[in-house]
Amino acid sequence: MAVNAIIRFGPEQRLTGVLTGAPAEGPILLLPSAGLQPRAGPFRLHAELGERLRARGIRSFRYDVPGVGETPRLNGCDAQQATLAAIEHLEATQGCRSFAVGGICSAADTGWDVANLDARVTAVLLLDGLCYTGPWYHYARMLDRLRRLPRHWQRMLRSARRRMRGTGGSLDADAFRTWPSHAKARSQFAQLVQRDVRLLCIFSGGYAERFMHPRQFTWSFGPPARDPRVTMHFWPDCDHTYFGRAHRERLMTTVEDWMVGLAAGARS
Amino acid sequence: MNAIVAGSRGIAASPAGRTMGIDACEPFWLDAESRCLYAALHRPATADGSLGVVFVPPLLHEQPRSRRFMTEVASRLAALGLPCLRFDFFGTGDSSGTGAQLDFASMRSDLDLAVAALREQTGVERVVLLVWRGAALAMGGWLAEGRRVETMVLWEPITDGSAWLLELERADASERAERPGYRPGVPSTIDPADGQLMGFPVSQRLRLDLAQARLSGDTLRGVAVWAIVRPDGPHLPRGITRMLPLPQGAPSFDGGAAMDTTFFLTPPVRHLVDELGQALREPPWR
Repeated sequence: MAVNAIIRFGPEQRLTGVLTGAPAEGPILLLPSAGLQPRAGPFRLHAELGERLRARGIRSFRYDVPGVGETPRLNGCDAQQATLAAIEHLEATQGCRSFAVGGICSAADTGWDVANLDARVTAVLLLDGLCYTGPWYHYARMLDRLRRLPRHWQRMLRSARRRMRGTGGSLDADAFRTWPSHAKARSQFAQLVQRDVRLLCIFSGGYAERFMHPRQFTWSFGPPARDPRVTMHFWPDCDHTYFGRAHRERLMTTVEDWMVGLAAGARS
Repeated sequence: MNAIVAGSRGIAASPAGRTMGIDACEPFWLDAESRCLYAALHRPATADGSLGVVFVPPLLHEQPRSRRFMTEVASRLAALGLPCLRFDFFGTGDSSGTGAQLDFASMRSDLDLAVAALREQTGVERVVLLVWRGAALAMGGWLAEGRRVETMVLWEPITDGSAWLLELERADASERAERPGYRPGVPSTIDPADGQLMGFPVSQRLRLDLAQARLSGDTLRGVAVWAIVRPDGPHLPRGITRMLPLPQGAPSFDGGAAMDTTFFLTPPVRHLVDELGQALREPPWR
């Protein structure tokens, strides 16, 4: 098979994705489109990550979820259904047995949802994914406000006014997110860890409306968050879509190393 | 100069009138063994086989944010009987390569592959190029190499590469300053000299190509050129034989590189695309 293959799957074969890499041990990384960005990923993150993983002998599959990029809206098929369809198809036609799923923002949510539905998902990539505000978040937020100079308060005020007028132009996280209740998420997290699912969770500085302090993670998910199967990074210097080249490199290296570790675990 | 005003001619009875979404397309690789360019062919249910359209995508951040829009336009034109081929330049979208490998020379080679593939896969005799934004700046060189198509339709073309480059550099600096935004105690680690523009790697060669490019009547000689522009858009070079004004409120390419700045085919623009499709099918074109 060629290095890159176009795969059509799902209802009436209306979903399309790009499979990169040759058959190998370990999970394949599924990268559903994130937000409204096409499957190549924000600033081609998915395409470049796919190439790096291919060079390490790991397969990846990126695809547009219904309503995004080239894919039409499909009755009864949302991002979750599309991902389950991708898993079915890749298992049936490519011999894939285990899957890592996730990505940025809504793609992280899709990874979470599918991992909770399908035991073939053995790893989840959560980039600015599920998390809950709480005492550590509010502590960090208050500290942040107090440490700002008056000129930044004015800027924050202007920014808040723009948001209220709806002209801020920034990402509204709620537009793409569907999260379970905190209690349910805690329970799901514990079940995933118990099921031996590996989690890589990275929070960026562009996610300040949801995540501002690393201890917020343990507060959100409890003791399982400290399990060795869970890796968490807080990168406040990076933005939500990794605009900077060095930031994107850091992210790709981290995901690549994680996937290589998963493949090594599968071989041993 | 002829002006086609959206809404001036109805085509309610056309097949496109029943197709409100995206019809199926055939994705494939152009030059799968070497350049591995992603392409998708929108084949009409019925076609007279004489005319097809190659979509020449915009550059940098404008490419991903307009991907759905271009897919919808292609689907619409295909419903009007025009086979359409979309593709990603080498180093962009789903194609192989990195952004740093993109320049006007590589774009010209990729366009050759796309035009040849449309002719080969559909048997069309005449090819129209639908060229978006900054890609228009590379078209002069392509024509100068002796390539010919029947008509080139420029969609909101960039006419002055040097001015556009400055505009991009200003927008890029603004994006860098805002990402992720100031936070006390968190030093900025974004490198202003990382070789990117609007989040995408850009080679010195491409910067030079852009800086030196200017759309003029001379560079577009030998081909019928139409333009789809805003009424208050930039001054266009002489030689444009047909103008199609974008309706008020048409989605704008301005808007930075944010994740939520994708745009869609709105009903007024859909009507304009229908007008374009009809006009392309009506000889004479010049």
